[in-house]
Amino acid sequence: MQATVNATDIVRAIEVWRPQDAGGPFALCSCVYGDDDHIEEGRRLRRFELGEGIVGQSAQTGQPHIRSCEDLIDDGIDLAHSHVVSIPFMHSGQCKGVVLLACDESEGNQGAMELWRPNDRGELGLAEAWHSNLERFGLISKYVKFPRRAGLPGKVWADRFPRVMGSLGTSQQFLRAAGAKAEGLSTGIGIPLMRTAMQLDSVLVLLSANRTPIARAMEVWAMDPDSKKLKIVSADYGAFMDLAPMSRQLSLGIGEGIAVHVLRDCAPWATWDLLGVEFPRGEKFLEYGFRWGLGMPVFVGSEIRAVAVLIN
Amino acid sequence: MNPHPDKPADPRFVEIFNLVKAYPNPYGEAVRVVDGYDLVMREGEVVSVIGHSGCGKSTVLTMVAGLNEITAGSIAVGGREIDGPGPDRAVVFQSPCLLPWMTAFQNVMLGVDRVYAHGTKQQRKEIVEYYLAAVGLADARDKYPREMSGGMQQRVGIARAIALKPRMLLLDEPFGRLDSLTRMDLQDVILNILDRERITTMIITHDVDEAIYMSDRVCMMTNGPNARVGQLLDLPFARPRNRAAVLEHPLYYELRGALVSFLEQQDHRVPARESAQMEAGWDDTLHMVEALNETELEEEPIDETATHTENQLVGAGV
Repeated sequence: MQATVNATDIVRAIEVWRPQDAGGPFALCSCVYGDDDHIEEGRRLRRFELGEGIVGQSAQTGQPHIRSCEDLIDDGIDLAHSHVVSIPFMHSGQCKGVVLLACDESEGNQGAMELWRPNDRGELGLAEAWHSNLERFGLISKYVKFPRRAGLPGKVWADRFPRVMGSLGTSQQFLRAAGAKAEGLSTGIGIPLMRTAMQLDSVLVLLSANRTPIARAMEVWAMDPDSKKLKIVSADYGAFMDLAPMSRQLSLGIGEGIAVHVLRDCAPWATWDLLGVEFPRGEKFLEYGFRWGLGMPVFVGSEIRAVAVLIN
Repeated sequence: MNPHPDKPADPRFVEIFNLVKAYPNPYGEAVRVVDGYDLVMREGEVVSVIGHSGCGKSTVLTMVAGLNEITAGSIAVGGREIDGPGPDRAVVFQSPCLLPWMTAFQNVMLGVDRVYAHGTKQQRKEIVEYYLAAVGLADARDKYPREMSGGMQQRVGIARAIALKPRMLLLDEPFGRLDSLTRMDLQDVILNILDRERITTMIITHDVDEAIYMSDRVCMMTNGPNARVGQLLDLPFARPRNRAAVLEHPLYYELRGALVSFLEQQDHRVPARESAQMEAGWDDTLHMVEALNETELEEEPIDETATHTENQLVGAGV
């Protein structure tokens, strides 16, 4: 049985679409739905060829997109008052999967999904965005540009490595901190989406608010060169700070955790079985009401550099 | 913004790439005042650079002017990498530095004589008179600096710089010593000239309102040492600028707020916890135990929400 996500959660659906064979078509591989689990059956039957729908387009071009669900009726995403980001995961030019993350923008739900792309001056500008009930923050963000190494998007770009940032409202490193503080944004994650090993397509930034988090825990895992196991290199757990020391000590080996699953398959993966997958943290996750996890590989050319994990 | 309407503006007219300025330190490693400064300016664009005192704004400007040696990185203007001062870049400093034994006319003529050596004497005279008139000094051309107010002297300095027909104009807090009325007056004088001449311009200023009023975009610098571009803010106001229209623009106070917030955020009074965090190389290298220790050392009551969030960053030094 699929666990029911807390009704106040801003995330309405997470879908992971993967090619059934090289080049497609793309089928729903794993998913997490909140109160909208009735759509799962229909989605399981759906297939997307390359170039078809938002899944196929992202898979073909390697470009992520943010769209209103109202514009995706033909895609079969029947979620009112929601926006979806499609995130393709390109490995040596081949799409290993596409994640659709749909968030609810009903009154009171705060959160942001942003795509920062290089412009003709070599700066990152906001190319596509969804700011839910963050009018001022969203308004100003349109006018902001980040050169390489500046701000969360610029640092992610320079490092070609994902990064989690907490305390957005007070951080000197988050350059839109004042807006974040005013509007209650607490934690963010930046994920580089590379076209080739050296060429960035965009930086995906997910900004989570305390009251209606996109994810209560955000983690970045990378291979420890000594132990050859996955360790956390950047993470934030919001109010659930006692998860931090426990997580910090973890080294994931074969068969352990969402991150290893993603590393093994070289593809994104969503699960609601935190208890079964995230030993020994699963019990804590359930105790705190966490229900699902999403793991996303971070490819740089043919190399998988890190795994970004969202848990809520 | 395009100086030649028939030709598209060069989007990368000025390219400052990974600029570094380091000064030797007898007690250790060289101090990098500016470290990794990147900025690209479109042809004809006016960019204000703001930041706290001592962050390295003027250091950047003097390097672009070619008056200050670059430690690393590069600066190219109009596709040519600069290797020293040149007539393609004119500078106006806070103090106009006029030659006291020369009149306003003669001070401006000094540069014009060198740059327009091929022109006739009459042509050079007309150029000087044109630019003195442009800054509102047509009637004061024969005055000596001691006979002029600070504002008038600065006008001469501006006329002297622009009369050289530079490809780039560098203004280092040009209104810093002037009263607010004169400052507003001179801002309009410069904007009028820039609207006509379309010179690519970099303005160093402390004044947020001045930055918003005068420029097409604002470059916000982080605090030094190791100062760099924190973020850039594009301004949606049309040119030629109209002060009332800018002030009444629905976004004016939002944009102003963003700039002020950035400066507050960059204030020198960095909390101990954040300072340790920064020294440790930001979140990726901050050890959980260090973060908790920082919290325990705090003497002031700790804000619950801040504690929760500030101590969540986990790192292993990747």
